Amino acid sequence: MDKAIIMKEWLKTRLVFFACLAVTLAVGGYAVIMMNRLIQLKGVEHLWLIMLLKDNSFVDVLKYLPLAVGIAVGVAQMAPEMAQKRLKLTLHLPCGHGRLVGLMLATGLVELGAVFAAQTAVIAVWDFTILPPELVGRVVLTMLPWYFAGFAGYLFVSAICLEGTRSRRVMLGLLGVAVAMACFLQPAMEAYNGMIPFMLILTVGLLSLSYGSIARFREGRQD
Amino acid sequence: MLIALGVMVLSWFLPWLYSMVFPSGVSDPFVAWSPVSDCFIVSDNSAEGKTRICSVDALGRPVREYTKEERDSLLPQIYFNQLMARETLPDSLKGKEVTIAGLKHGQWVFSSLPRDINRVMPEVYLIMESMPPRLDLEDASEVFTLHDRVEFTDMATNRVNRRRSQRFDEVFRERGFEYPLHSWSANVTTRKPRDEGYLLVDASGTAFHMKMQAGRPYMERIPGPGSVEFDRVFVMENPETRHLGLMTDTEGRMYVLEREGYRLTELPVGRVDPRRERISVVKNLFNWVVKLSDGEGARWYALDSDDYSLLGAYELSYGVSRARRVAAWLFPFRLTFTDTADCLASPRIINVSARALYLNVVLAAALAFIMAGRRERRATVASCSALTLIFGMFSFIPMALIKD
Repeated sequence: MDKAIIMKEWLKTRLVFFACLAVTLAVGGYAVIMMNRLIQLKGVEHLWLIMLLKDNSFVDVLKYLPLAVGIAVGVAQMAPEMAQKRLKLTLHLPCGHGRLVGLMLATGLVELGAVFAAQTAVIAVWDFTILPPELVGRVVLTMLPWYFAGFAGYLFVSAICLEGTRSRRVMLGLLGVAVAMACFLQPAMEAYNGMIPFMLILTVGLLSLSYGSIARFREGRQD
Repeated sequence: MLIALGVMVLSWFLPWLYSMVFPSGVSDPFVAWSPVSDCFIVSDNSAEGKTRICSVDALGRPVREYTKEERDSLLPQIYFNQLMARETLPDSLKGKEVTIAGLKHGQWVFSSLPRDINRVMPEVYLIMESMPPRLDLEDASEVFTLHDRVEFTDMATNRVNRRRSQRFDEVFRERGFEYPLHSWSANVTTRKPRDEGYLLVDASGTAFHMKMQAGRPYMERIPGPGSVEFDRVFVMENPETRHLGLMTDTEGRMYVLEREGYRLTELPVGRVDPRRERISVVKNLFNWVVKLSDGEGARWYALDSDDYSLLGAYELSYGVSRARRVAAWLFPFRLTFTDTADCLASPRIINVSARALYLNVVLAAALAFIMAGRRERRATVASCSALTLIFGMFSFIPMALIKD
């Protein structure tokens, strides 16, 4: 049954997944090309100097992409459940509701993880050819809160799509905007290092929002 | 989870919105020490846009008001262009010859902001050549790391320069440098008259001066007075070559380091915390004016430029604005993720106020009334009201809105 549920989720999201993967890899590649262009024009030393003296990570172009990917995957996965009233059928599957929601969210989170890992790999592998490990780690740590925003965006969109009442959707939407904003407050490199444990706890906590929406749906709270 | 998120977001957003609607800020007056009248001259812009210029006594009280022309004469080290145009620049003052060139050469400005210190710095340090073959300073072409040994990396190839690493590592060991590095300071730019390399503080609080000269290491241990442990260092590379840097120790004392013989002198400016306070030093031919400021106030110290003895001190307390006082009655605390004093993001609770308890009690009673009307269980009503006593309007709003 688990495999069937995962396959169902995969069939819903695979197009968006591959599209997101292609876009993130393309934008990651664009960031690499821009760095390479700078190296061709002014030399690799200039890139080091800008990175160390101007606090520039050269990956700012990726900043809001993980959030957009998270929202896209969430909409692709959860909107059809409500739009085509499939959720009622899904909830009648011979599987515990907790396990069902867990598998649905796990599928989406694994897909997001794969997209973000692929993008990080593109940047990190290329950076390793021109930069020392200290600076590569600095770039990756700077990107980390953007990926948290992606996971948070996905979890909020999932909860909003599965929610049956408009007022609660608006509330979840406003909270989602605030949580996403918190990931982009400080532009300095590695600014969020001290907040990573807090973000991990928050992401785990956000999983409960979809469970809450499903529980309310089962109680018949719909507009 | 929804309630917890609501409390978190509202405790962050509402006080922020309040501070945007009712902004409160202060601007410091311009304070300088007059070598003519031996007192502080304070220039302050009033709300009407007029500049009030006055001298202040030792207690900071205004003594006499001046016109702009009178102020120019009292501060020839700053307004020498105006005095020159009016042909009233004195030939000498305090036994020193006053010339435009001398005044310009003898002045420099130093500043340090807490946000430049409170940030995650890269553990890769650029190093310039202090004795370039063509005299003009050139951009750094190598970096070094200080994990458990010195390691130089060539930026062009991203490869370790083993020979230079070994040379520097030997010198670091000979001088007794203890890892890890505690703090450092360098100005890596070609827009300076000369390169003094790095001031470093090791794990034991010992300070070192290190630079690369003709590709070779130059490193000297800076002798501290007694058992002083240094904390922060600030290298200075001014056209005037007398001073090498400013330093603070773990007790908050501030020192000036002279190039000649690494002579260290404690500055009579009280306790200094560079992580919290903005430091600015304006030096001229006759005196230094050291300004230390934070969110609560500012203090100025005038020092003799020759022997660093204290000439005068002036202090200004900002006080609490009306908007802030009202906020203390409304919000029990404020959640913020950023601060102007650092470049870090982390959740922090500030402005905790017991005065908001009065409003919290009213809101808790109102919430109990609302929830009782919804026929909620008594235990739920009691726990929600108890939470509102602590979190005030931050928990009242989501609990009043979320019905189930």
